[in-house]
Amino acid sequence: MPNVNKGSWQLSLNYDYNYLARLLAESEVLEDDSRIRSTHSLLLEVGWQISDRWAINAFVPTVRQERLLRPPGLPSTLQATNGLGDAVLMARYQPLEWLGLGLGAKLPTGSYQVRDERGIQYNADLQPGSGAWDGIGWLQASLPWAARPTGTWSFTAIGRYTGTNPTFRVGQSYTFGKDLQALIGYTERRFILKQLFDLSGMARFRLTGPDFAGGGAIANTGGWWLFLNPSVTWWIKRRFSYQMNMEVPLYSHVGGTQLSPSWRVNTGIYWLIERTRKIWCMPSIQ
Amino acid sequence: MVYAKYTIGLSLLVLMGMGCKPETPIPGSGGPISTPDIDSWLIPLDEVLDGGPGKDGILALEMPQHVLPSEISYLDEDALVIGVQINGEAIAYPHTLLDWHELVNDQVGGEYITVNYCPLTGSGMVWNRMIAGAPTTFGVSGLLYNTNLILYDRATNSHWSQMLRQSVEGYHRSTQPDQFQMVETTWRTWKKMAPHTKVLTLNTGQSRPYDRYPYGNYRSTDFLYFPVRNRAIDYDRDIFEKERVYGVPESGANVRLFQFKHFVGGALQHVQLMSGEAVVVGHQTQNWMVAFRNIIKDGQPYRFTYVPDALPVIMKDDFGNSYDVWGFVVEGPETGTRLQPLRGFVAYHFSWPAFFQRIAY
Repeated sequence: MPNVNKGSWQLSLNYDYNYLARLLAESEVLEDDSRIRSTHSLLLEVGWQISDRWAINAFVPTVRQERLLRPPGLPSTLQATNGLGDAVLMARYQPLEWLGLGLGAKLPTGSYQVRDERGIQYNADLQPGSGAWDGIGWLQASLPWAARPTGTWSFTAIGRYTGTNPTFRVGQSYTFGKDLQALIGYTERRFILKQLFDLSGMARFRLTGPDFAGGGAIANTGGWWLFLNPSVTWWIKRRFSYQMNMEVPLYSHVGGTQLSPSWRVNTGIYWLIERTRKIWCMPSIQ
Repeated sequence: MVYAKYTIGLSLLVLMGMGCKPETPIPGSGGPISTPDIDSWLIPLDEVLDGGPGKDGILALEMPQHVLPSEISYLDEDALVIGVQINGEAIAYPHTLLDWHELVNDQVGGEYITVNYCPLTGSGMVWNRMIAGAPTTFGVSGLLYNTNLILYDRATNSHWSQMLRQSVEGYHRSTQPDQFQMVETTWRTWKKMAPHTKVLTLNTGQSRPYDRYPYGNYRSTDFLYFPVRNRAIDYDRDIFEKERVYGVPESGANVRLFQFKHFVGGALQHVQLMSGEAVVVGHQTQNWMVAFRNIIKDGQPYRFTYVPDALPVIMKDDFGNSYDVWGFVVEGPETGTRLQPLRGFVAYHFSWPAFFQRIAY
């Protein structure tokens, strides 16, 4: 969320669907369409601007994880979990007009012990929560393009130092892979049919380490990906917008053999509740 | 349709005279021991774990193509295979494929078999998939017990623990599968044991990177993906946890273990099991071990001697009989008779105390 006037609130509600159906062996796509992993998330984010430079954000997801197996010639099996995910609290500081820094924590608010109808605990990746505290660092730079006043270049880096859930199973801890992401992109603000739009294109690089269970690295986890993420934001009102973006992988290199993202779509609304009406601050690119 | 195909296959074998030496699987219970209680498990439910890929997420091979060794090039001579010989037909099931598929539903020598292999416990067996008089196929349930494969049968959806060799939930609860004798060894050695063997091809109908082992450095570290019972008990800790160890399960929760290092250059041990005299034969570098119930004659067990470099013959007795790796007397006065094979199999060392309460070396 962008820096806004002191005392203002920001709300966003987004739906995110992440669809994984490509089975990869490192970077090689295998001919296998027998499995699909997908995640539906409803993401509520609330931001409060404490001062001109400081803000805090809270991020609360509800998650539905699905695992669909459709082996050829055999019945399909769908397994799913639902529940509150892990919430994130983040303090943001804006030392310069174009630079934002953040430090936060992911809280173990989501359940990690969801069981199927037989009472068997699902695997860690199917759980709504992780049961672990993570540390999160965030940096964002937004620079207007002098050659084009309606354009903005942005760079965002997010690092996640994942903690360990010591009691994922009896006698077994679990740690999701540490994660580093970098996004770089350009946003163009345009009036189209007398409506204000932000049109942007982002490249997202993601590097994730392997998961660990019981202290050892789990094969077939981790990897790195490069995604293309075009998006559009429609400013319906001065303080209210609707956005939609989708993401497709340009290149993927996974650890071992694993399902990898096929595409992702994210859509939602944003509402700025300003305390004062001094200056309308254009939200920066996320 | 599938059954019709099987019937034709069996008929051809009979017509070709290949069914003249019937193979009898080592019997299990042959049916449910107790009244089925399909809603409960014989093993602690909180120790049944989701392995991650889901039901049939690891897809079994169904009636795969068998070809001559000369038709493949993907197998190293030292690669491990599970070798099966039933009614004269010999097939090699390479770990290279089993690491990825864990199960092969097949028909060999007219018998319906399921070759099952758990890469996480390193345990392989060959089960008769005629259950309660009807052929079924097995699939990978996606569940694990003591980090070991739980199969399910597609006829009743019952769950079966591989290393317990028993159905642990569902209609067939308590049923033990009949097992066929098999030999786990190197590809080079297997071709000597069964010169007429055929082998699976990489043409499995599934796209997998068979040139890679799917579990990273799992075989060379002491790290386990999933918790197991009795991991810290006071057994011989000098043994690497992933060392492949041959075990002969006995009555109750007893097992007798044999390390390959005691079979350097080929060797044989006469042993006293709880159930009686037995002989265990093996070869460290050739990576195989087999066990048979010994014969008692005039109150004395037979004495055997290892026969080197004569595969498939592996030993002889004091009466001039030579025995092949399947226990058949292939030369001597008792030619045609057979020692009773025991239900031994190889598994990683850590897995034995997880399933057996009393372990002897």
